[in-house]
Amino acid sequence: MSSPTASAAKEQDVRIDPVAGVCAALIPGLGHMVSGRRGRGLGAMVGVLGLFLLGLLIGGIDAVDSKSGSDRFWFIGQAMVGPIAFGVDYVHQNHFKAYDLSTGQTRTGNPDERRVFDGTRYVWEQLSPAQMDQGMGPPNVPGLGRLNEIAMLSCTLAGMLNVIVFLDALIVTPYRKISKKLGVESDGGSS
Amino acid sequence: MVLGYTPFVDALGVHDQWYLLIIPMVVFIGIGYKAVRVPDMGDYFKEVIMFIIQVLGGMAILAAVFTFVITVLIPLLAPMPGV
Repeated sequence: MSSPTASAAKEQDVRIDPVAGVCAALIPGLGHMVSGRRGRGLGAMVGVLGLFLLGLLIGGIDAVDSKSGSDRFWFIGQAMVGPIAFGVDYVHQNHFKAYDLSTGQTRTGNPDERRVFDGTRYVWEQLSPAQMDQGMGPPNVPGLGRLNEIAMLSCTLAGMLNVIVFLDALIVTPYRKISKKLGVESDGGSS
Repeated sequence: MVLGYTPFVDALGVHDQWYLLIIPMVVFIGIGYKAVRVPDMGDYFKEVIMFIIQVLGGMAILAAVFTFVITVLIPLLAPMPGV
């Protein structure tokens, strides 16, 4: 049996804010900001983008990859960060990968390869030891092993966190305090 | 192209300190999660710090327990000759 204060809080309108929802889907935290909840929006933005950038810092751009092996399953979660994740993936696919002529598929380069344009597309070219001594190599160094896993996890956690942030921006509900007397107090969601 | 570390493009070479990466991860999760969960934004920083302490403290306790089980308890219960 609920207390009178709990019933009162339940009766308060739960409303949908489509503008905030669209803004939240575009940039993490922006939905809260446009609906006047700037503090919450800023915190959400720092949290989500911080996690995403931390993943990129740890594992490099290779942490976000929608087309490579099992990484594509991680990208499902990473995509929840929004257009930023798709932008990073686009840059990765088009400016850091190249075609492997033996398989016809794009992939990340090995340390003894460099990315060259053959007139129609970018392909990996084998380097000689002399060329490697000159500092030639692929455009990025991918993360390996545990560090790669942590990097992908960080970017995926950013996406999962952004789902919560997006729903909180779209569906405006009163923020409730559970009091020690089993009652529920509400601030009307205006914080 | 010259090989060299470029932030956000190349992977960090911190293979021996990987476990420390949980600290910034928990900090950012706390900042983001508490931003949408605290009822009163006046308590925000206190709640974020509590979240960080609870998660890192829990992880530290788990690490200590597992270290004890693996290095002390299991060799005691099932000693392996020559190890």
